[in-house]
Amino acid sequence: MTKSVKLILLFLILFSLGSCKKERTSWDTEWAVPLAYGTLDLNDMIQDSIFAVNPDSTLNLIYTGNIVDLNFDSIFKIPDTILREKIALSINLDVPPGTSFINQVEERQFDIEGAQIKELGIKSGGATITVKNPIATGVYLTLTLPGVQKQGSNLSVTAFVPAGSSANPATFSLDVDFTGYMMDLRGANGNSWNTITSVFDATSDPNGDTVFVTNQDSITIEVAFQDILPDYGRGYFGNQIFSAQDTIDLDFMRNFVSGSILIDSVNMNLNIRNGLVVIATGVVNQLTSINTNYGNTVNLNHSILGQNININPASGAWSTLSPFIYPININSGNSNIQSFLQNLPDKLIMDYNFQINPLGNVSGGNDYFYPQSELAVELELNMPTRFSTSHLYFIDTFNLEINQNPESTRITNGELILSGDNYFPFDLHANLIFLDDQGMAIDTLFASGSLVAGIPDFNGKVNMPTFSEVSYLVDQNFMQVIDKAKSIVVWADVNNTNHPLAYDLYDYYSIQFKIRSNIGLKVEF
Amino acid sequence: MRSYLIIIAFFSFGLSNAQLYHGFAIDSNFQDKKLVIDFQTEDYYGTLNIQNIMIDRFAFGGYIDQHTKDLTSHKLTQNNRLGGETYSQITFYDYKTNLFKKERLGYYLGIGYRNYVNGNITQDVFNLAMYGNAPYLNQELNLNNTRLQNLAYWKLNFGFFDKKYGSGGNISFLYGNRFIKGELENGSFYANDEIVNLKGNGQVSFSDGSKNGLGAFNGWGVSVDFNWNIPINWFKTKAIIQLKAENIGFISWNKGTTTYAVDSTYSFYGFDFSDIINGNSALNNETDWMDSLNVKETKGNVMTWIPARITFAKVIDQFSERKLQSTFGVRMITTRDYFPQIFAGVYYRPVNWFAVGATLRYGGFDSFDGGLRLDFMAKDFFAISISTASVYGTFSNKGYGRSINVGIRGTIK
Repeated sequence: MTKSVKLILLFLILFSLGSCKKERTSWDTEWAVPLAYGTLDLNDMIQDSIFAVNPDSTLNLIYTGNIVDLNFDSIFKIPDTILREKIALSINLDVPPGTSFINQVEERQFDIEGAQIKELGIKSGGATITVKNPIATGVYLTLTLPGVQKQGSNLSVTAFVPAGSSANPATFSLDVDFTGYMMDLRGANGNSWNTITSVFDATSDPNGDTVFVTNQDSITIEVAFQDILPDYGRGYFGNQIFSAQDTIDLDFMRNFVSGSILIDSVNMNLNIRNGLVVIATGVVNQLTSINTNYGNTVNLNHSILGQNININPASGAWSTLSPFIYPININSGNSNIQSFLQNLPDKLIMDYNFQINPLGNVSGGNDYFYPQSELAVELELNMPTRFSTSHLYFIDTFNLEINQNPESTRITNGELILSGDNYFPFDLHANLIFLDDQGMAIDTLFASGSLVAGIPDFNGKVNMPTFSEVSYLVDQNFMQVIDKAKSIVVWADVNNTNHPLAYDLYDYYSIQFKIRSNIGLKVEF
Repeated sequence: MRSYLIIIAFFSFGLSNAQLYHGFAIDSNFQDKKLVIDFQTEDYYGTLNIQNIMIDRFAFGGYIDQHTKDLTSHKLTQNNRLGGETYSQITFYDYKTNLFKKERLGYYLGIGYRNYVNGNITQDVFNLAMYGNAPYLNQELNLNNTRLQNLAYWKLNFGFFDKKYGSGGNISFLYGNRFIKGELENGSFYANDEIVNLKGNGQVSFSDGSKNGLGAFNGWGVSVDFNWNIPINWFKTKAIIQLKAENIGFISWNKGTTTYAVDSTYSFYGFDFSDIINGNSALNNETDWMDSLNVKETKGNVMTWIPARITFAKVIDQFSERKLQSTFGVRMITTRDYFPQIFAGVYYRPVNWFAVGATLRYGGFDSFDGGLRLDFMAKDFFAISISTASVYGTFSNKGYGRSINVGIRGTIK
């Protein structure tokens, strides 16, 4: 290596020397900033429910939902049906071009078990029509369904099927949408049911040759009905029995998981609602309150349970349809509804039997259903929000996304401080559980205390909120796992220190809260 | 190939070491000189009120403890200028060629990398950044006149020089590598348990962040340097007065340059809880943040003047027969954070192969300090110089800047 090269290398090495840092620069900081604010009222805590304000500003909890819901699709189904026809000449003859050589009327029945349907309105569904032609000329085939009409016009489809042979018939397929059509299922003479009439017309290709057609040359037509869903029907719906145990989720109760609640009074209705123009009977065998968190069940005791109920048909038609409603009132005086609800059910199970046309075809085939028709049992709860709680545990879950940049800043320790003005006459002690993307708990922040209850006056009414603060300590371990947290569960103990003294809840009750942080932040770069 | 030592001034023609050490010039006959390779590095920083113990942590890494923060904070005022640069350059001098057929004119080619920073950090900004806001709840922090600029660029230069006195000049193509410039003319920060109030009037620009590393090209520019060494009579002997202007030019940063401008007051009370649980929080939306703060974002070319350096001084004549010489002068860098610097010193050369120099100075990014220089010259092959413009700061954590410069020069032909 020459002296010159050595010199250049030396210079290049020196040139490359920079002010490289040997370790990262870091320091600790303390930050106190507001993080969030908000107001929690009953609507936030008890979701999917409606509160009605009484003249004295107290609240009533109102909940309405169907426990049983039998619509037309539940009562009978139109099965996927294939109507297959082979049409042929009765004699052998030469067929010149442009000649209608077959015109044939056929009837086929839908296999609707137990029902004799005269008329159907189609909400959705369709059919695939497939034609196979063995004749040595092209054929224009027209399929007309005279009883299937929309806006006064019959459903009619014409297809050109190329020439084929007996060994290798030509095939043509076409999808037809039946949505919005009205189907007359009384057959060609008008006194049948479940019957569809079709007319086939075959005309030879006007541009083809004269061909010799024998009575063995059958054109095959296949109409495959698929997913026919009606929204109107007339006929005899049959004598059918529907027995089941249906479960309903009480979403508005799902946040209460344990503890006890003392409910002052309850008024609940079970409304049996018949929107079908058909006579029915029903029996509610059992209604059960289930707390899936505890596994506790409470059966409702009420005189109507197990009794046969006659259910009249709905009245009116189409837009004037008026369902028949059979109300069953359940209250604190005629049932054990309080303990039924104090079980904090998040599910109800109803065991029931319903029967339509128990006396047979007494309507002369004039049962009706309309698009809005259903046979349902509706739960209607209307209760004053007057209760007491003893360590009633309430949970709610929120999505969470925390993105620290450990390359530049890292929370080392600190605390979150929750302060609030609480009107509710209940203490609220809320712990925070952090879950990973698998729903597994990865850490918990425990509250240092409770948001203290508002103080009721001698009438049990809180006129001024109580201010209090609680803190959540954040340590190194928490910060190491916090990035994995995808959701946060608020686990709150709602407790009345004067339990079992019950209090009314007023429309202005809320918790106005603020969350601020005092955190240690390590800055690194 | 014949190589031999060139005992000339290391620090002529706009090279950095001379710039810092203050004033050297040449006066010699270069008729028989050949090709010379010269390497110079200049690394320094200075601050008015921030001691080295703090700056070192930023420059070289390490944990900044409470004591260090307290020590610094207590010394700060609203004017705490700071600045520094690292600069390295390799230059090839051709003494053999007579440029434009003039015997006294040579030329040179060089490449260098300059990373320059200057700014002003107010006491409240420092405290906020280093302690966080928790110790300052219910106090309004003054963020006025906070600024920071960082420029990094490659410099490819071609120049000519006078072989006798070292006067000359060059034109340089600048290859913009990185640019950050932020300034808050007026600003304040206030926080308590319920609110954070930010007031601000300023802007920040930065070059395309997607291009990193020394090779990133984010703009281009042009600059010129010139150096005029004037021989004069000085107390019955000869001396040289030097007028030098360096880095007079600009860089146009390319279209990827982003500028954020803000002139607003923003109050933050925390996120609305209902927004958080409904997924509508600005927490996850950068655009909402920007709108809330009334920040205007623009992208496009930004033209900046690079900080120029201007020196007027009586400089050392490296080829003077006197063993002891004096030097003094004044220097300026064209940024708001550089206080005009005056300096004076002596240079003693007892033997041919060794010389030592010392200066005192006031001004610059810091205030008062001394300089020291050691030159070693091995005849016929190699010369090296080590110097500092901050003797106290370089060797003490209590100083307000550090400076290390190295120069190596040798012949390759």
